[in-house]
Amino acid sequence: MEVNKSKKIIEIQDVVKIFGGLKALDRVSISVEESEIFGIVGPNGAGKTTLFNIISGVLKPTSGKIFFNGKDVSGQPPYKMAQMGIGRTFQVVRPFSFMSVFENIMAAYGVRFYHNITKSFSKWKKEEYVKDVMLILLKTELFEYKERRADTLPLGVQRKLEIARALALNPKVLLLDESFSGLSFSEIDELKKLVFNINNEGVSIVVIEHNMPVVMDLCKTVAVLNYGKKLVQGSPKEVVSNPDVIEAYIGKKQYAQS
Amino acid sequence: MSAYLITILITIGIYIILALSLNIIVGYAGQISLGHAAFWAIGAYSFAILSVKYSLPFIEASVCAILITTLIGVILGLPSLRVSEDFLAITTIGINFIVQAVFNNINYFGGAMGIGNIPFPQIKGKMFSSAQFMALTYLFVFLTIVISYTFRRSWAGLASFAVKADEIASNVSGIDPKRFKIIAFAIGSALAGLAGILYASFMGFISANDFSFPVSVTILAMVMVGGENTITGPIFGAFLLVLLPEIFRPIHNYRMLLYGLLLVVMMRFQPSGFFGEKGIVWKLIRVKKS
Repeated sequence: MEVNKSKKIIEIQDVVKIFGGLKALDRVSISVEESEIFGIVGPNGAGKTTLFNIISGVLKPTSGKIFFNGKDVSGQPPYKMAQMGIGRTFQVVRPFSFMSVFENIMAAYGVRFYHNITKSFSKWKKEEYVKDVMLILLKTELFEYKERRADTLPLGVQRKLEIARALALNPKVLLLDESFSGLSFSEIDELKKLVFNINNEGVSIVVIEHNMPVVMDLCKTVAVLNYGKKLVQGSPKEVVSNPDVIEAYIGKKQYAQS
Repeated sequence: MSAYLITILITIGIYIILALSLNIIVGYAGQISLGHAAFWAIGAYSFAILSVKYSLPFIEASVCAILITTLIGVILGLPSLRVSEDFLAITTIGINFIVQAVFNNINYFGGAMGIGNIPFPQIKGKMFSSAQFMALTYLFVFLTIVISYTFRRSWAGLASFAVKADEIASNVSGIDPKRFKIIAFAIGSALAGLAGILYASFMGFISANDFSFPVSVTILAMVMVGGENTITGPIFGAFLLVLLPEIFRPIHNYRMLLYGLLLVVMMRFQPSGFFGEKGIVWKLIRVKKS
């Protein structure tokens, strides 16, 4: 049995993921403490999204282990991860396109019933469930869009919808995959506020983000990935001044030779 | 009522059940199936064999036939867990041909001669009249509508819609896509089995050619023309596509041509069907109201 000293909500141990001949992740170990906001940064193709796919069960690791709340969950399917309390969003949004915003969130809220065959066949539109979903709609400021078809919404709203859908799982961890990219400044500020609010309710959050000011604001700890390997981990300030990180992003210092 | 009218109405009733059952698989769960006639055939053949060869009474034979169809439906639905869209369409076409070939070539199932003398249902030793049979058919139609409606409004229905919209997103939202695809296939094939029982019992004679691939296409066309993912749509589609060939009877030689033309025009101008979300029917109603 794994003993849990400091409260680690997610612990990734020596995870390797190989696609054909490509090592997308090479013995990556990361641990996320309870109720912190953890950042993952790195150049394109560093393996950040692959890491999320492994934590959320979309991909199985080639080797290595993932612990959630001290329990080994390596190789579990996504819906089991969701039932346990891992919610995620996608870099390229994936709302349930032909369903309304309300139904999108309700579909995830149903995680409480799907494992039970009798409950699966009971009616979903009940006051108590609707009330809960309305609270999520209000919290994520999606209330005005609740009857809109998900695929008719602007990107910023779809991003929020994905967060709302993940929140309906009542998650312990929320994985945000570049939720801030492509948004306007005001949308970024709004979303930042939302992320802090969610975090204040005790939900641990892992963000993949390219926007460094956002990372600096949000995260207590940041890990840098490059070519599938973890370069460094530390506070955002430490990380951005680390020479290895600078090299990964902009290359090595070279002196002209005479 | 004339015998002709009753026959037409019973035929429509059977096709409504078929279209609504396929709608659960295609419209609700998004699993394209071009082999629905196979499940219809399995229901019809199990009922025929149980009642002709083993002389089971109507109700017992029906219950067993539905159970058999559901079981086989689930087994044949398993490929849908591995393949999707175009590949699933081809797989289900294959299933249709295989099932037809099995019934056509194995003597136990009557071979090319089919199975005859399938009994009409009875009450207290007295045979049903055609009008009573029609009432029975529409009782089952009503039951199918109730099941479709209940499924739509259940968590399982919502989960199926999510799987249809995006399988990966549904999976990370706590929905096991395999589970809900299997549920859709089970309900869909059980209802197709029910239609098979009615057909076998009504016709009294069945042969494998009654359940060929073009029949599957017709059932799918009913769902698409009426409007998939609705309940009124497939019902309307069944009415339309059973009645059209009857109406076009005087121009017999051209009726398949007209039929094909209708499908092409539908796909071009009404891709979500008459009763679909952007269907013409709702548009007309909205115009009238305002």
